[in-house]
Amino acid sequence: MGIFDTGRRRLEALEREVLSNPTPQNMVSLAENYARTGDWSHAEDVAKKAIEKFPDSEKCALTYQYVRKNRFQSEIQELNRAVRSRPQAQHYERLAHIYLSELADRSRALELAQEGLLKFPSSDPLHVMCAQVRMERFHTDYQANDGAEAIRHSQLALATNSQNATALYCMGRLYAEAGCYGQARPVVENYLRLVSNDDNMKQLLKLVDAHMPEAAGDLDDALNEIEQRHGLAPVGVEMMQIFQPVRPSTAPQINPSKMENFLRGYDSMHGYKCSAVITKNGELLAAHSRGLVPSDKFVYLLQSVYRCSEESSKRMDIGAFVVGEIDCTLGKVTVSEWKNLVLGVLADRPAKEEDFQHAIDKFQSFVS
Amino acid sequence: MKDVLQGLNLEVGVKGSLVVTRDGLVVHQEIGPPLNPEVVGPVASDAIKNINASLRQAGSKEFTKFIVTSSFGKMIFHETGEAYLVVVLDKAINLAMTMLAISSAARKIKNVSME
Repeated sequence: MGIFDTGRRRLEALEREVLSNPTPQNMVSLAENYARTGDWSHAEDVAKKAIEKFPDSEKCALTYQYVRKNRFQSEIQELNRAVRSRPQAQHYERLAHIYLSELADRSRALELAQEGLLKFPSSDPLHVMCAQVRMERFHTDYQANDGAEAIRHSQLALATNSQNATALYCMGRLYAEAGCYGQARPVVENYLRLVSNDDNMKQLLKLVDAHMPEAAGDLDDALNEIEQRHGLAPVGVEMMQIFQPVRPSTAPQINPSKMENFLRGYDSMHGYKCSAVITKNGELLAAHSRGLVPSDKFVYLLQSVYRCSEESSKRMDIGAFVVGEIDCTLGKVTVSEWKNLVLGVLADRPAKEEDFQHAIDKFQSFVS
Repeated sequence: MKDVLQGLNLEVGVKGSLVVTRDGLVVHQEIGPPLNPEVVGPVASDAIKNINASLRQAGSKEFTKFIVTSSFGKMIFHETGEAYLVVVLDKAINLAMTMLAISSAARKIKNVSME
């Protein structure tokens, strides 16, 4: 009885904590605790709210995938067996669909769709899934390559099946949001011929018509501008808002002295040496050092590591930078991006993995 | 080296791997689709050179390990004596397990290059 009471009290305490100060860490803890007690329904509810509230949090995404996977486990295993022994296009299509729509694991869905396309290059559902994932990635990271790939896959899907409404939907939205209204118009019109009751697309068409005189000429140039800006142009934002809430592409306004006070709090961390926060453009917001490593040198290192990691991730086509860890003779440097701000913390032994994780969690809570 | 990299690529979640010297020369790579071998080598080479340069400025020696987690994948740079083993991975992997395989491969590469 005592054990159950303790478990119940822990759950209630976590529920209260999530209500008063929802952070990725405490929402994940609550979902995990529900799962541990076998209450998968509540675990799923909390995990879903967590990814809605913190769509960039890896922890929240993995927890959601974990609780949802429980429901699809046997079907996934069966499809995986089929894919390995006697693969057919529909096995890949269903498997990629489960990962994309049910588990919100875009990365795995894209891999499966790409693997399927190597064997079944004319499968329009697989091309559409690639287009959908690339479009979602474009809306998260604003990387030109994702936008261009989403359009390319939509075109390939339409080459096989000109009536594929999802391919027209992706292509129409992307052309419009990039400002290529001339290309967007016929695509959106074609889509509305197939899905005449889609009010959002009708509204998009009105905006496309209203802004036609300002149309961008070249798609690649338009996508590159979006990537450099880390966000859509105001008209593009207006268009995107028809379909989904748009997250701010600029860093939250935080007073540098408040941030410096916050960084001073890391003084109590084991082995702590110094820390700094910069914007994604590399501008310094605040820095703090115990003196062993000069702040300016550490800031330069943080700017360089972030720029290099972001550039490498982009060129390797693995999305936007989230976290980096470097082991060197100074100790360990952890770099983490959150809401367009980049935190760097340098600490040496006896700092452990969990100390760095705790430092990142504190930063995310503070900025949130 | 080829055998070591091919063996490593069979581990769960490993998309491709390569060996790059500290001055950025690609010694050998086992990179297949969806990664582009013409991109991965130069990107890894640039990352090693740039990060080591900024570490030296901060008063550190060159890094021994560098892990980058991005929204759709991971990159791990592990030192192997005179070179680095660079591995590109899926995002959702058991990093502790994969890291054991990467460290073991790095040791083998170090031994190969010392022979």
